[in-house]
Amino acid sequence: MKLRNIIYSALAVSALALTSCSDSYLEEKMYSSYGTDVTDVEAKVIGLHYKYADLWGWSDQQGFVGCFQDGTDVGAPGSTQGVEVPFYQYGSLNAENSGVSKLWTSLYSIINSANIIINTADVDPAAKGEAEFFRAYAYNMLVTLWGPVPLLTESKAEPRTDFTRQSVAEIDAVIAADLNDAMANLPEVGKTKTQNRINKDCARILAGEAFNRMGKFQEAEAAVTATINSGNYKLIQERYGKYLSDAGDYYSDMFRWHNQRRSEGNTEGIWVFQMEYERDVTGGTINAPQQRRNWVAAFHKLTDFMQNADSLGGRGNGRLRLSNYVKYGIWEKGDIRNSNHNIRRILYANKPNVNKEISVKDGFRVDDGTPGATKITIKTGDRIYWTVKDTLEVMYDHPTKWGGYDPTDDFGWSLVKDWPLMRLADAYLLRAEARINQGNTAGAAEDINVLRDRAFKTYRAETGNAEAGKVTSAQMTIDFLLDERIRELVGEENRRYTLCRTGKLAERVKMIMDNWAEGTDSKKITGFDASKHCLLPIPLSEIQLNKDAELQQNPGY
Amino acid sequence: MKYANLTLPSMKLCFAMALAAGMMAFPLSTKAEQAVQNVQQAGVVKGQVTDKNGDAVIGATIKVKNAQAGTVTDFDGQFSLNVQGPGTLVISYIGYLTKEVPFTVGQTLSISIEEDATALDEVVVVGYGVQKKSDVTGSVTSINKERLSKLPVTNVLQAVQGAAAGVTIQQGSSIPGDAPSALVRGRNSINAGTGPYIVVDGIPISKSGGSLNDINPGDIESMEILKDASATAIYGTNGANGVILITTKHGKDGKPSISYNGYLGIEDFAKKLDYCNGAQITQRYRDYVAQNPGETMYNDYVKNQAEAANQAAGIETDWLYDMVSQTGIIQDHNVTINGGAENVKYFISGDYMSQKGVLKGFNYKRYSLRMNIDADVTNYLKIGTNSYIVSHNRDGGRVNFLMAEAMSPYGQVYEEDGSYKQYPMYSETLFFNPMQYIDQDHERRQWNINLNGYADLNFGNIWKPLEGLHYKFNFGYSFGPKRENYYNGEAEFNYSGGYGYIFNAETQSYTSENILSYAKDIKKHHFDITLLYASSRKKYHESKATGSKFINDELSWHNLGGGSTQTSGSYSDLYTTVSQMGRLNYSYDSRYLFTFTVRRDGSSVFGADNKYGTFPSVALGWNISNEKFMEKADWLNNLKLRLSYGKAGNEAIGVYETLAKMSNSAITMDGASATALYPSSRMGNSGLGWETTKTFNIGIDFGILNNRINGNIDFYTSTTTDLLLQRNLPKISGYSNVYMNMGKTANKGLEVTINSKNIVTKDFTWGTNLVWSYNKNEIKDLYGDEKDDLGNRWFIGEPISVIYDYVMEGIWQEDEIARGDHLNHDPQAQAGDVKLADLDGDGKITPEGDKKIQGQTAPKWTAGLTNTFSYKGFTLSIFIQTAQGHKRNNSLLAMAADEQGRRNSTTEVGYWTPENKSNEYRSLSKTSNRWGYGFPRNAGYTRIKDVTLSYQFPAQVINALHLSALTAYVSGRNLYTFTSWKGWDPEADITQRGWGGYENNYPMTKSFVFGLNVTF
Repeated sequence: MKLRNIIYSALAVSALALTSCSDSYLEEKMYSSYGTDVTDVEAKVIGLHYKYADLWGWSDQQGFVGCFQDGTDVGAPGSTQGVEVPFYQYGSLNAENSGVSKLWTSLYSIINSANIIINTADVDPAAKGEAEFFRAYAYNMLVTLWGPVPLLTESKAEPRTDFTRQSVAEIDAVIAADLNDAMANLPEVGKTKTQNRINKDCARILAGEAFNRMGKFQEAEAAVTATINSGNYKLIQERYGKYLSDAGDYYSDMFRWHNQRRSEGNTEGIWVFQMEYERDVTGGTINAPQQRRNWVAAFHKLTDFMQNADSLGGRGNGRLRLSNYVKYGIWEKGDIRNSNHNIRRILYANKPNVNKEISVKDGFRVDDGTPGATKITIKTGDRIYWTVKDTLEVMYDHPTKWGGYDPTDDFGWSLVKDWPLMRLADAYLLRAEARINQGNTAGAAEDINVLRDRAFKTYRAETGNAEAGKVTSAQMTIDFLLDERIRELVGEENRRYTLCRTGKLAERVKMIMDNWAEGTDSKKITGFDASKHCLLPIPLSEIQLNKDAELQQNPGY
Repeated sequence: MKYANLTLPSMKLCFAMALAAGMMAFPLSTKAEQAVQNVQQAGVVKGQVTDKNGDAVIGATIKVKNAQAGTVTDFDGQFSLNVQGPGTLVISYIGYLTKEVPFTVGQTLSISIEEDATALDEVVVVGYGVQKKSDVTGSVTSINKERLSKLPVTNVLQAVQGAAAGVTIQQGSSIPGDAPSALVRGRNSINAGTGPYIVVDGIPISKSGGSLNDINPGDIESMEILKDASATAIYGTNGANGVILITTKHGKDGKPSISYNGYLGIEDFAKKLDYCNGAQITQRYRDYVAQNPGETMYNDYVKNQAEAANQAAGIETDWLYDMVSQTGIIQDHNVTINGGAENVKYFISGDYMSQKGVLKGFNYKRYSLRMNIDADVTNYLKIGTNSYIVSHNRDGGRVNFLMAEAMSPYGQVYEEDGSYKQYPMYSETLFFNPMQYIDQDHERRQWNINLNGYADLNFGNIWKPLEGLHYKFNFGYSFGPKRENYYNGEAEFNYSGGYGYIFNAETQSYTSENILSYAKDIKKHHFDITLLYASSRKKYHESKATGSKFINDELSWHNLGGGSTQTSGSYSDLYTTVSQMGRLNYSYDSRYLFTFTVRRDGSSVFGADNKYGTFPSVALGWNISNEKFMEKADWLNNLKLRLSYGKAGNEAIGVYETLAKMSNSAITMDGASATALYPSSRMGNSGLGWETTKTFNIGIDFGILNNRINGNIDFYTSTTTDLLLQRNLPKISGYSNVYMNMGKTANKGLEVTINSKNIVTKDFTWGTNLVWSYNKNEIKDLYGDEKDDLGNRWFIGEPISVIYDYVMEGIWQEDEIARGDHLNHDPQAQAGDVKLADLDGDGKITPEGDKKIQGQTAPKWTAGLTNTFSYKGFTLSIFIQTAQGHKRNNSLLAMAADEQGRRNSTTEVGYWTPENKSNEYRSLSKTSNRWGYGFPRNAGYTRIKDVTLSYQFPAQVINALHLSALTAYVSGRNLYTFTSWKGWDPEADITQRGWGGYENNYPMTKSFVFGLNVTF
């Protein structure tokens, strides 16, 4: 009996196993991923912000930030990481540069995500507008830096290897349509779901850049004028926010951590890309933004005198310096944008109990016993000195816009402060550019003077010279405008993009090479070829993988 | 007697425990009493040994049972032996049955011995059953059992390396507890999994969440590797990459027998590279600064401030061989109880293995318990279980090997308060203290609970006419939890508030198999038929959580909720298969053999229309030596020809590749986390189906000169089509890659195994085993247009994994630069830079024109040579293993150019300076390798892999100790390596800083152990 039971139960179990023959047994059920058919458009739009953050917060190649500054008129190499080297030693720029492929890949990834939203039936117009903004951003960046590129306006999950380059005009038509749609359908500032979401004015600023590049100057002027006239923004002219008791000025207040958002008192910010300290808020930083580590000098290495501090903006790595042109060639006396709070040129010992005698000559520290040197004793709070060699990495004049520091993260691998991407000042600069191009130099001078009134406000009050910093319509040229963009936006703007957008990269590089070259051979711009380097190479792997059609490489690569 | 019977097992058990507990106190000295012997009249016994034909047998061993006396027969088969009194002679000869003959003093014997038919009729496991070796038509390699014991291996594959033709084992990581990788007959698949399918006691552990690490090598009775299509086709879906079948030990009839097997030994670096001492690092820094404008020294001797004090005080730290390393200790203790009572047989094995690595914190402990029980419930029903529980423990904060390599000897180890200094070379912060993680609270645990059972119904014993019909039900259930927890405290890491991490995963899987088999002999015809219906299911689930910013470090990771910020995540998946298989074996007169197999498999991982694949195979065998016309060839004992052709499938892609997925991440919006959704970078492909491999195999098995020389030779060719290819796409579409069925690869290979008894005398034997295999792998087609895929580095006509890179000609020298040689070659070049060949002669170096295929990454051929010498009770075995014909990128040579002068490096790799005009090594300039050349170098090696000396104690000693058997051995592993490779080891995976897994760099180790096998 017992035995029979065992046999029966064994057969029963195997029979059970047999029933698993049904077709549903092999069906795949995804437990942990959404399918592409998920209907939530909101999360997909936020996905675009994520993709944007993943691009500009890239840390795999820490020097990525430098690719867009080095080898132009604003940046000079410091302690380089590597990826940015071919951007000033142009002879070695080739189609395998990982910075080039990161930008290309990320932009097309943004386009794919945006295409999914834009082509969703009955999609909310505001969500569509936000997607169109990002798609226009990506295509505008692509055509500016690469020229003709493949154009995709739909997301298709089928393996394609037959892409070809479409003309810039065709792509510009898509950009223009997207921006017009976005400007019409995006919410006004203050009406977006959260303040960091894309509003009408973000699209207008982008339209100003794109239309200026396309030669549609009237459209450009109209787009940014809408922002200027909206009355929603004010240039910062007074100190505000949480650092009133700290040393600083009204211009530097805009760039301090926890002081950058509209809700924090910044009336000038149009697109402030939010970051949070990852250890406080999940998803606070995407990837590990390297802007601070690039822009800020490694003065923590002056270990005899300095320690990291909130007021100094935390730990820099000294990868990217300012060009001699920016340091010495563009400033007028009294410009607040060049104050020591904004371009830091002087340091004071902040380590406790410093008491050290050093030798100084011609403003630099030298070895003891150097002829002609004077010995001085430095105590905490005193101005300090560094060696000439130090100016290549350890301490050099640097913009403070990316400084940020949390004492619980002294090493500061990631930058955790907000990114200033668009602000009202840029609207004036873009309108001045459009007006210069239309011959309206008086209008352009008016716009620039709005910025100058803000920049020289303190100086004029101190000196009583109400004309200090004022510009005239005779001065209004594109070159002047590009210089003014440096003064206003250095560190914030992607300078390579701006110079390519305005067609001035070759001229500006020549100017630097001729008049403002670096003193050290290995830091000089070399190998620049105007017929080649005004466009980036298409990543080699893209050409090689695209085996069913020729994706023509840009000339010279 | 009864009393003795009762106590003896418990005595034995105590003894076993004592041994297990303390190997160090080897208890040989405990008993030395001699058995009392009766003095008998001495004399001579003589005789002749002949075979069944009456021919003299030369060299047969004659021994007196339970005594030392012995001799061998001469050319006439004659022998003469001095004896102490009457007794029993034991006559043995290779290939013949051992015979025992009683004798009296002065007797002359005439002894006839018989061939051992079972030597050829050894049974091999072939999957869903066993087969006589002589009847096997497929290509099956059995692993020499000697290699499964007496070797200090923690994973059985380590014992297989070089010992089985056609099987390539690579021990990329020597981290305690890391398993080697295995490859049978070359790579078929480009992207899909290429490891063999592993089946233990009929239940697959591949794809069930288990691994060979779960199996105590000491529990393994036999190991077979199925290689050709005929042999693997029964595992259809999973057979394309070969199948490894493992059978564990089972109980034997009779009294309980208790055995203890254990070893204890030490481990050390297989090779110790020299690194810069203080004077050398100073020179290196100076050269680096001289070669890199803008770089500065801190003072005349060191580059960084934190090095200054030790330099001034003359204190140097040996980071590698003093701080981070230690003498490794490896030990294993295994107690087994084996026996049977009426109708029940059992084998119980408990094992404890512990390995303390040569790098501090790399520890591995394994506890396992196995119970194999077989019961004859009735004469027609047999049930049993092969179940085991294993626990893995890899706890410990670990040192960082790469950081230890990088440290300056002048770096500061400690802060003033005695804690580790985070950056010993501060202000250099790229390289942190290699000791930093040593005190980290870090647990890595894994378990596998495997409950397997079977029921075997013999219908012949129910109703006579059904004789030969069996039904077997096999069921396996496995539960594999795994977790990892760690905490980075504020004190150690200067990480304010600390960070805790918890990861939990579990796999639950079951396999059920219904096997119906029927065997029948009709005169000289033999049939056997096997039918299978099986299904399997695997559910995986994981979760992880983190917490940060704690009040203090006291609670470590035990209360993540105590932190001020938490994150969490989880993932689950499900995988299912269904299979049906039929196999027919037919043989006529043991001369003509035929096998036909067909298997149909369904897998959940494929698209709705392609779930099922059908895989047939056919094989023929011809035992030529059984033919009449071969009877005269006395020298030939065995000759068999085997032919097989068939298809096997490979579904080795992960779950859900057919589906289009969205990825999700968190991003903050006004201070609060929000969900971001975006398409996954891999495109889904709903049309995915089976990858198919067709293999043709021709093989010869032979045995000559009384089987003193035997072996086999196999030649095979296989073609794989509809590859499951992860095709990289232009990223213009927004997607990076997609799995597709496309392309074709081929493998051709030759495998030779030869066993030879070179010398056989009474006291001394010398045997040699040679295993040699060659494989040629080739991509035949990719996208149907016979075009290379440069982007993926796939080239038609080349092996699957090749190195495609620039060609290094040497180093640019100052005079060449001064002459301007570089201007029409590589205009950016500076003296000391890597000089690459301008292959296309266009006057510049370009990735498009100047890269070429430099070689393959898989060995072209591998071989193993074992020589075994026995003298009386001593056996010396020397195993040499080699792998040749492959290249790897050398990560020490390819060190990131901007790190070269910022860290310590081995003095085995030099560098260029204007004074030392090397043409092999580049300068320390940050741009010395501006093209990113990967430094591919020949990775061939020949290793003295194992040397084992064992001693089998003679009967007197064993009897005196009341033991059944006692063997002691010493064994050395990885004793010496012959290679041209610069750096640590050509086989070990050593990666550069920042590259995947660099935290897991670990040197190749050598070990020396002492071991004991005792049976009570």
